[in-house]
Amino acid sequence: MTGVARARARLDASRETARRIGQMSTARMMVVAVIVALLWGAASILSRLAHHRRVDRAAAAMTRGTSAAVAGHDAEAVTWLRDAVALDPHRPEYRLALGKALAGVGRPAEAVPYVSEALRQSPVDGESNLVLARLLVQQGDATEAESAYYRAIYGRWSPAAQPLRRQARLELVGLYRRTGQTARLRAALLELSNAFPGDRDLQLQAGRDLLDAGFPDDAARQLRIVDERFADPGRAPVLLARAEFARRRYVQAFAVAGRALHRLPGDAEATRVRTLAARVLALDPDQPRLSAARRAARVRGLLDDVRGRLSTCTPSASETSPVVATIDRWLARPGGDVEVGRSLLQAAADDWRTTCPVPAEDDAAGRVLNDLVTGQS
Amino acid sequence: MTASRETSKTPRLWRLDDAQRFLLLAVLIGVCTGLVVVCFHAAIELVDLSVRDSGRSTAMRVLWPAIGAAAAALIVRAIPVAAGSGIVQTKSALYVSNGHIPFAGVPGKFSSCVLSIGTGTPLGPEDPALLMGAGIASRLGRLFGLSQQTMRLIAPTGAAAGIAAAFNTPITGVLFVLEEVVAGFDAAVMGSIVLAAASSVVTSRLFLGESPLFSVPEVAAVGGPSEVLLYVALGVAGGLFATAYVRMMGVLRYRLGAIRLPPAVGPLLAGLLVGVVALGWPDVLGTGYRAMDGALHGQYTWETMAALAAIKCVVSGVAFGTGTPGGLFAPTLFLGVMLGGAVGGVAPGWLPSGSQSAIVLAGMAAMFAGVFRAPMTAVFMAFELSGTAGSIVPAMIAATLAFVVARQLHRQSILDLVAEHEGAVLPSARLARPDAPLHVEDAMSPPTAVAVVPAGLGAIEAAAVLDRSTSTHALVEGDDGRWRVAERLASREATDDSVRWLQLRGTGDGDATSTVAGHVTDAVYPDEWLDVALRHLAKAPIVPVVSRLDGRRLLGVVTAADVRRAYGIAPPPP
Repeated sequence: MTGVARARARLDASRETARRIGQMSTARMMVVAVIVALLWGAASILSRLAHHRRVDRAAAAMTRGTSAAVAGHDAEAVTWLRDAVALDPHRPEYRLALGKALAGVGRPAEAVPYVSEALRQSPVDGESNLVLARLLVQQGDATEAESAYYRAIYGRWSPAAQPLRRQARLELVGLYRRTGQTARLRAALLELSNAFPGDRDLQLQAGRDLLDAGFPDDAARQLRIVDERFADPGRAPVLLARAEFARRRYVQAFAVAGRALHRLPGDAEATRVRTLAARVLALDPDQPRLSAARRAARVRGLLDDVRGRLSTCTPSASETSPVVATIDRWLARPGGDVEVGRSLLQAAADDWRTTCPVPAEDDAAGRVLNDLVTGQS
Repeated sequence: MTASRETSKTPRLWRLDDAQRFLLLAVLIGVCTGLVVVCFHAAIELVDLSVRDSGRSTAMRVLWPAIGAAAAALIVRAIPVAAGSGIVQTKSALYVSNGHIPFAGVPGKFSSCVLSIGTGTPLGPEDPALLMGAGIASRLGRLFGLSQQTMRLIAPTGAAAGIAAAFNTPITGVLFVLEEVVAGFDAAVMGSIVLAAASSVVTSRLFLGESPLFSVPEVAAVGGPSEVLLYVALGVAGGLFATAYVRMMGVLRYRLGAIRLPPAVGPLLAGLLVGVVALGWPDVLGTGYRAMDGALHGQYTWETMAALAAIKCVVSGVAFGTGTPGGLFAPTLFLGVMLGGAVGGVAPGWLPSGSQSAIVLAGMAAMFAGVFRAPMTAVFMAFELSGTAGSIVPAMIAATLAFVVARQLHRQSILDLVAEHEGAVLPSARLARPDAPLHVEDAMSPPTAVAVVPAGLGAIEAAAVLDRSTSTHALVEGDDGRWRVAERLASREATDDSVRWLQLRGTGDGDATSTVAGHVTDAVYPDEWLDVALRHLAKAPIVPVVSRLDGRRLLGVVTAADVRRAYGIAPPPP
């Protein structure tokens, strides 16, 4: 064999080797691709199978946990629901249920992450925000709780869960009441009444809360609406009478209380308000259309009363207080000037206000004196 | 022409160099390992759910772990490469067998661990996943004809992918392999390990979701001194407990392994013990992830957690000691979680509100660092498994202390112990020999040991320097900044001849070698291995040692005599 032939043979051999390498490499790549595809298929089937089994078990655990929670067995509910969350951690409702159950057994710190995770998955869910707000209230974080309540109020609710939206507003009102945030409480109550105009009980509740929170004007407006809007206003007139009394509108209070008694005969509160309003009206020297003699008699009566109060509060007042001495002199003179007596009454009321305790609710004279001081009689 | 056409048909992958192919292969290893780990997890879960659904009678609850363990042991008997710790095989592949891991270990480990862990054996799926990843990587490396050098690195790459997919924690996978398997931060393998870990996690997340293993309540930042003290106490307790656990494992593995029993009887008996114990303490069964989650959420009292730790310690030790297939990661994490919870429960007043889960995670890191002696992995594991950055500082404190205490009390980690039991002596960062390799600075002599002619000297001054010296050779710094070694007398003669002098200084015509028998020699740095200087000594009798900051600053010289003295072959100078 010549050198040329040998070289040609070597060249052919190397070509053959390269061809085989190429084929072998392609074959290997194809084998690997097939193996990867098979593994992918196996992983897909097995993970789906396991997922379905897990989801079924989680659903069963959720059902048992929910039943236990409804039955009041919170500890058992926690166990089942924890199982459900562990098996199917991607269901926000499971986490929410577990969070609620944990809150039920007094473990809010542990419940917060579950509810937060549920919220991460569904940030505008109203119920999750409500539960979070309750947990934060339990933990004493009023600021965050307030935010969560607002997110709950303006969040998304299923039609079946609408009562909980109302509940969120009520709980926010309760939060403001407990934390003494009166301005926000007033705003929340007004929003509450505006949000559910057809709900008489809620309107009544808003009116009562406004009244209790020290907003008699808003309460009166609210309760008047209820009184006018609903055929059966319930206790709205009674509350309205209280509101009018609180506004020092004793004539209206007397009238509304009378109307309330007509609707609810024997109602103790209406009776009390009516009686008290009548007594205030009977004592007030500044009532219109009073004769001079009756006005003088009322001034005299009130001066006598306030003198007694001042003497009771400060036993040495009869000797030391110039106001008491002046009252004594004015009372000793039967035909004293009424306007002087009125001015004296004003001064005595000021003294009484600063030295004596706040009068009782049913103290009509005390009420009149108080009104004299504030100038709102 | 035809040949080039044939070559052009070769797939592009085959035209890449070895390193590039290795990186691409790392992605493929990650994907394949991720898929296998997904199958592994799903299969364990299916078996677990089936076992739970199959009957709640006491007899079945006792029997299932025994049946599963015995069946798994029979598989291991049929496929012996599926036995043992995956980490030892992976390290063997790296250091001994050029990356070769028998592929039969992958299906063997898969099936045996699915049966044992799925039926309740209190061991974990992570170490088996590591072995499966390494086995897949080894097979793929062979299939694609990687060079021997690259093949050695392929097993750690697969191991990282396995760990990362098993825990859904890429950083932990990378760090564990670097700390434990490679025993150092080797730049050659780093890129491939990271790629493999990332691709395996991405693949597994496609099927298993992205959530971390544990859903942890919000972790508060470390509050005050009392809290730090508690973490310190936890670290010490973790170190002590880890030492006790490792020693107990050693005793059980040697003692139980020494008992001659028919095949699968040991695991069967261990399974029965597990089944009986689980009647009272079902939380110790299987991986224990759910119990760990419960501990993180304060579900247990500290007394219960302490009891669970003690019981799990025994049952996992017995199961592992009898050779039941399964890994040690999960039981170690379980023990750490329960230890952390128990320590936190003993001193509740020392912990601010919201720190319960932090101390539980710190306990987990402490135990892992103490048992596996991989503190960095432990810290990042606590972070990745919980998904909360607040756990890092407590975990760092506890893990570091536990590592220090455990290393002080017991030289071997659990993996060293297992390797020793399997008859292998593999390199380990922790078991570094006291006679470590020498550096240049360990051997070098001061520059005054030879005649040194700096660059700035003229011929007359250089002659004076050379005359003063008694050494046989001289180091001459050339004007080009390079050092030349020449015989001193020849150099002295060169100073009298301006042409030769310039040649010696590297500025004249011609080469100094040809004129004055000098050698241009590369300098070494003091921190380099002495091996580097030795290689230079083969070319020149003196090797200059220069500063890394200023290459013209001569710090010393290394000669053959210096090297002999450094290794103790020649006596030190008087």
